[in-house]
Amino acid sequence: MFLASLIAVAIVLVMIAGCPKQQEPLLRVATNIWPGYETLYLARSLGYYDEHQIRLIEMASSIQVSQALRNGTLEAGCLTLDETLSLMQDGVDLRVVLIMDFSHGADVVVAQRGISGLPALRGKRVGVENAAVGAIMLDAALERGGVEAKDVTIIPLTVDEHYAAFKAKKVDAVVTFEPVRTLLLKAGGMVIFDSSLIPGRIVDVLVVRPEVEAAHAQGLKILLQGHFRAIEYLATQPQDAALRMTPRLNGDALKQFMGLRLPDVQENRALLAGTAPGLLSTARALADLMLRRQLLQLPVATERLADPNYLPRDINANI
Amino acid sequence: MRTYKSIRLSLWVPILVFGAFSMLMFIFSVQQYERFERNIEERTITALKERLARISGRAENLIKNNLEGLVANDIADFAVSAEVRSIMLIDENGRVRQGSQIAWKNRPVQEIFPRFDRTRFLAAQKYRRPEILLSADRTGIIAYQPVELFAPKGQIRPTHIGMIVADYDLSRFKSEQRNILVMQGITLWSIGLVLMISLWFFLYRWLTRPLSHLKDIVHRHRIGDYAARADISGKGELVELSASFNALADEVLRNSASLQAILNAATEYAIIARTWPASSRCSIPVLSA
Repeated sequence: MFLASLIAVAIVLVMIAGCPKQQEPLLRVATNIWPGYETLYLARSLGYYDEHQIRLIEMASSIQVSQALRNGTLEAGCLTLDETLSLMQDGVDLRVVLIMDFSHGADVVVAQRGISGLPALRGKRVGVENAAVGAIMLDAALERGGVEAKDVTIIPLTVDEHYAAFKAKKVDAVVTFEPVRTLLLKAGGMVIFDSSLIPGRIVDVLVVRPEVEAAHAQGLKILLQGHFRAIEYLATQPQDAALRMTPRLNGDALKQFMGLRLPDVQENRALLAGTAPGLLSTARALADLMLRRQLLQLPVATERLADPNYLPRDINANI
Repeated sequence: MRTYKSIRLSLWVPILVFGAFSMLMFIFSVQQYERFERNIEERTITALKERLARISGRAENLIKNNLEGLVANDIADFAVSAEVRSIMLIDENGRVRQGSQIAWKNRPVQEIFPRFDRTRFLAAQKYRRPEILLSADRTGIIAYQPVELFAPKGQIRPTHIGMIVADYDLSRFKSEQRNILVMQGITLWSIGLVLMISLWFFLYRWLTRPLSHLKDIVHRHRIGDYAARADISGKGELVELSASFNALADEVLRNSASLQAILNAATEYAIIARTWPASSRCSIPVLSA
């Protein structure tokens, strides 16, 4: 009897040991090209991410990122806060797990030579990603210039089409951002409005679909830690960081960061954690503005938007 | 006389049954996995062919209309699949025109993708048909899908043939399937283990315990307790054996009593013979048996 029990126990132990190891689920994070998101690519280039655990998907525009999140084909994506609110209005449940940057001049309205200021946009063709952050920028620019939306001809263009359309003079002005901004300025464009005039309104965030959060908790922690380590690397080794980012950003990578502010872990914690996270007041104010300007059709519930669970306590600790 | 070997049945019967069950389970699982694997490979190759045909058709149209930039959107959409490790559109000389990583643009494909097979690329280019290959370890697929890039001036048909090269990872999908199979196997195996323990319990109850009881009765007889009897109820071979044993014990006891009586009489006779005077010996009654 003892022997039989021993054998049974041994068999159970062998079975437990033989249980298949669950492969780490792949966390797919999509971004368009934008210096604020470049820290993720810098982290990848520095080897902070395991390609079997985290995959960065490079998309041509944030509209494509939104569509993929809407379809549920991605776990996470980088978007502006207004794009996030637009998606949430359509019933896509999202959580902001990281504030990546605040645009402070990197989003711009670039006009062809000869258009001296915002009031001169009246009657002109303006190229804009109208389903994305461009709408917020254009709205703010027109308001500031005293021009109404019906006074301009809006040409819907995704960001990858901005340069070609501007160069071919298919548009008189375009609402764009880095790195296209630099290209347009080289092509003779002039900045007539930028995001430094609407501080706090253009916030870039990393969003996650909550239904996949639990399965990707480890991946998200590594992703966020890599982002903060990359920011640190950018600060301590700017030349090497710039070299690594140049193939994607075209031109002087460091210069493109000048119109951005990258919040660190503490600031992120202040914005995402606590009983009244700072992000919520920003999101509510933005949602109100968007509703007023008809950029949103329905109110959006933002109470559960902020999720600080994946912010690292120590950016150099092993996860 | 031939010697018969025996084993401890209550232990080895369940183990042998479970061993045979496990062996069958293992063979079945291996065969099943092989079938799953082939199925996954065939279905993936078919799906990949369809997707690549669509994306190459679109890419040709976009390039014809000078909208090559939009091919990047299609490539990004394709790259969203967890199984797609990389995908790129390369020109006829093997330089990347669009890829799932922007930094690859204008770089030679061999630099980015060391497993690039130039022979396959040239074959796909020459015959303008896709080349889809399973890697040696069967964990990935590399696909070469020709794309007509442009026609030189004065020619109607495009002669510059580029290629969409896709590196498809099967390991994750296969590993998921293997895990499902292993989990199913473990569940069935656990059921087998429970059955083995039950079998062992019933064998102990219905075989080992009665045998042990019989052994005990035999031992008691050996030390002289001829009154001991086997007490096994129910039906079957062991009941018959215990009944036979009891009958044997009764017979032995009866014979033993007769023998004892003879022995007693003989002893008595010997005493009388020794103690009676010789003159009276003729009158000693003849002992009856």
